[in-house]
Amino acid sequence: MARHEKALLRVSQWLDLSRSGRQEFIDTAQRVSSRQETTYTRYDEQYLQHLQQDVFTHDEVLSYLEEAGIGEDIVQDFSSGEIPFDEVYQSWNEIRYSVNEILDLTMLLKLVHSCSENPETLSQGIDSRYKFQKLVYLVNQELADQNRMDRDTAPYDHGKLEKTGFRYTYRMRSSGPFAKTLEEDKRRLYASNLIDEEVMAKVETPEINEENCRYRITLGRSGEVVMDRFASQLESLETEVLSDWEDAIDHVVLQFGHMTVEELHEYIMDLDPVKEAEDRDLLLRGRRVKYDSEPWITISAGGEIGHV
Amino acid sequence: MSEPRIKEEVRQSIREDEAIDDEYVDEFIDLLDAKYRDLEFDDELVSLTRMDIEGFKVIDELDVSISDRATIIHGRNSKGKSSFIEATRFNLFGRDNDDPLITRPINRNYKKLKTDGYWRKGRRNYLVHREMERNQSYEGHNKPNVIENPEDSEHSEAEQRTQSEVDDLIGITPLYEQGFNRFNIFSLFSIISGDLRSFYGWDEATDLIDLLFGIKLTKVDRAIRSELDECKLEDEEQEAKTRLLEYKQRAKRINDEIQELRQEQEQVEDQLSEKVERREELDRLLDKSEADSALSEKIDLKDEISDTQSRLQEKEDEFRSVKQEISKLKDETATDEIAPALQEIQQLISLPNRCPVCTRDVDPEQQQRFNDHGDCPLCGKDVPDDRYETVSEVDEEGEIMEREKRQEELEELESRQRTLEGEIKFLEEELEEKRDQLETLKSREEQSGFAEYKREKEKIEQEIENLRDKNTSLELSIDAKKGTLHGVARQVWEWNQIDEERQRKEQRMDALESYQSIISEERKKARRRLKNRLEERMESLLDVFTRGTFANATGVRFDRGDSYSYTIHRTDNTQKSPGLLGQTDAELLLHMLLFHTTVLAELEEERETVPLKLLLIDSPYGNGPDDENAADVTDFLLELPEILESYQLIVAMADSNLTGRDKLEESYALEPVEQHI
Repeated sequence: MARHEKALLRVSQWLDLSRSGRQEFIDTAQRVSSRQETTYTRYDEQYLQHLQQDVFTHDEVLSYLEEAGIGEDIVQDFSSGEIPFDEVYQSWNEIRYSVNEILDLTMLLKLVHSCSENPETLSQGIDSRYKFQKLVYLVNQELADQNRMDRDTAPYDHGKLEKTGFRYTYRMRSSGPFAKTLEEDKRRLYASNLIDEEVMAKVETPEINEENCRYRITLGRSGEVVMDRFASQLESLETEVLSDWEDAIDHVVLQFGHMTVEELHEYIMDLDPVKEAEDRDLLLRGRRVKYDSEPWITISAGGEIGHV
Repeated sequence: MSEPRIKEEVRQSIREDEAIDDEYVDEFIDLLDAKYRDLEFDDELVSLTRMDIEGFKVIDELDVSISDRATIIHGRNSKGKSSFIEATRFNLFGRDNDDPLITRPINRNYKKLKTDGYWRKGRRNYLVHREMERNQSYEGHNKPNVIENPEDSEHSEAEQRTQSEVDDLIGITPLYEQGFNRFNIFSLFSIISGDLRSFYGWDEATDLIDLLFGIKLTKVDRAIRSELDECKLEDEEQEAKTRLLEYKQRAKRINDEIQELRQEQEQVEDQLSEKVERREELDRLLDKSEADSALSEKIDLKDEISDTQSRLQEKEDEFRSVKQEISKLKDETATDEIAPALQEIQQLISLPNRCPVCTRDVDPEQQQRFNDHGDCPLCGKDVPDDRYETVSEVDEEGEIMEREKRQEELEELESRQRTLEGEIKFLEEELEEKRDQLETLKSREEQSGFAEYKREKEKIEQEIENLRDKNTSLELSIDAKKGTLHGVARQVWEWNQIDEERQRKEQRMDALESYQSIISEERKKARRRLKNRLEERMESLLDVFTRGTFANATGVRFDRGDSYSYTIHRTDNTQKSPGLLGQTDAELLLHMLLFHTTVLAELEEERETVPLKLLLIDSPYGNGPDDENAADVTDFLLELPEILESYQLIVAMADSNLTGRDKLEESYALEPVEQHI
């Protein structure tokens, strides 16, 4: 059955027909529809309209319904073209994220994944929220430092971070560079099992939310599934903006992933912009460009909610 | 020494005196000749015959006839005897503005005062009428009326004459013409208690005495003094020397500056003409070498280069804009590459399944509530509308077409970009080639010297322009300085004139002073002679004083200096001199009676002298009791008509002083004031 013909299945389910009855109804309707010399491939309003006007009002369909013992009022809805699609077709709620948010979340997963895969890293994942914050900062800092496309298109001071990289804005805290929105995104990842946070030994870090204990961040169950499927794709991106980003993540993980919190802290605090910043001073503004296409919507009519 | 010899001696001294420059000798001798002359007075004597007074001070009306000889006008105090003396003086000379005695001269009962003095001169009678009234100030007193033979002719008192007619009448004009004040001249003829020193203390009394006694050198001396006054330096002349020097120095300074500027200007002009010459030479060289140079070819090449450059610019602009378009398109499709991953994640996070705070899982009921009502599965509150969406199976796959289209556009743009790259490369090569050609041409020019000449010419032209600017500014500076110098030079000239005048005056002053000292030497001798006469006369008069202050006088000595002051020596070795006595001192009165009488008595001996023979004496006993000298004064008054034989004496005194009335009546006509009022 073609994907768009799932509409007929939903109508047969709504009519509470038996398994054989359903098939008979679908066959009848398909037969009528195919006689109309139209080719529909999509499950959309147009197709539904076609069903409503040309198929369900057809005598063959109506007489089948009467034979199958469907109530008179429902047959009446069919003949007048007033089937309540709302009841017939499934619908559900989804929390919406913009493509820009999803992009950040995906790349964060990529970061966690890279750390796990890094042969230099002694343990799995990222060994503290502190390191998580600082690695993301270093990725963006590297992009900002990278020069700088062509002279005619380069932004005046933002390096590649203008076009690519995380959108998190870093300000100076006692622990060094810190982005509040990164913390929020980390919670979102956690809430959907994309990452896990494991409480480690009672060793604190300079980070604000690690004063008593340290959290190791690893991929969650869902995160592992996603990365199993897409990690290799993310390694070989062709689009310049994404591959630069990905390269920066790999480079940062390679260079700093193995460092202890103390080593990393010493390094970070010695960076020029950090050294000179006062508390809450702006250190680094996140990516400026917003990507506005939402490619997943096109393939969301899978019929089922794909929670893993 | 005889008069002509004195004159000759002075003349000689003038010629010989080294301090007197030759240029002054003739002038000084002329002055001597002109001034060394006796004064000429009228022969006819003048006397007062009657005085008719109205409204003068305490006098209401008083009309007194005066005898030729000696008259005593007496009365009680404040009845007008002193006012009579003053009125007589007023009749002759009017109001003396400097005389403090004539305060409130007009009687309070009268609007104006009037005096009619009847004077006799030789055989003729004269009426001198003088009146005064007070409006804003005192008026009329300087406009006397002189009427000859008033009894015979009809006359009008209103007619007004000048003071000089009165001067002529009483014969003092020659003295007045020598510059003496009338009141001071007249003070010799009046001894007024309370104003005793007006003659003796007068600065010019010495001169007046000299002239009255024919010491003609004083006349010369007075002329010299007035010349000296003329030579007195004006304020401007006093500072002329300093100012002249100042301006001269300034002028020199400015002149030096101008010279410096001129030198600089000459240098600039030299440089300028050198440069202009070199430029002309270059022009010739350029004309010659221009034929060799491929100028037109060069111009064409330059045009072509600029044309190619602008084409290249256009292409580069287009290339940039294509590149930007591509970059934009790539951005738009950036996420397409990982769309499946994004989709997966979107699905995974579209419904949270555990709480990041407490780490507990989300219940199926919580999920159901989110699906049914949009409540947050974690906290249970409404999820904001823009954070969630209701998704239906019916939603359509939308953007494939657009994505395909974008891909097409992208490919098109990329092919355009490649084309442009090619074109740009081509143009750049072309540009390079043309620039090389231009360089070749330029080096050819270099070799021909053309370019070098041209560069030098440009440089020289710039230099010429700069030098011309400099020259102009130097010219302006010089002009400005010249203007200043002109002004300063004018000042120098003006101050020089003034300074020359100063020098002339100073030189003249020196000469005049030398002249004056010659005169002064000669005059001293003449004065000594006169002083001897006066000493002798005064000593003989002192014999009359037998009881008072002068009773034991042994002799009189006139001072050696330039004045006619004197000292009376006494047996007790004390000395009496009027110099130190107070104005109201009774002894001063005694001295003045003696002094005036001495002078007037000696005058009687002179051939040429003032025709006015009048002596007015007011209160000879003073205003207070002077018992010591009263008897001597009376004796002296009794002697006086005899001593001053040719003089008319008018004495005013209080009744209380008329002690020796019987004796006085022998020599004086007594006129009680009360009888004439």
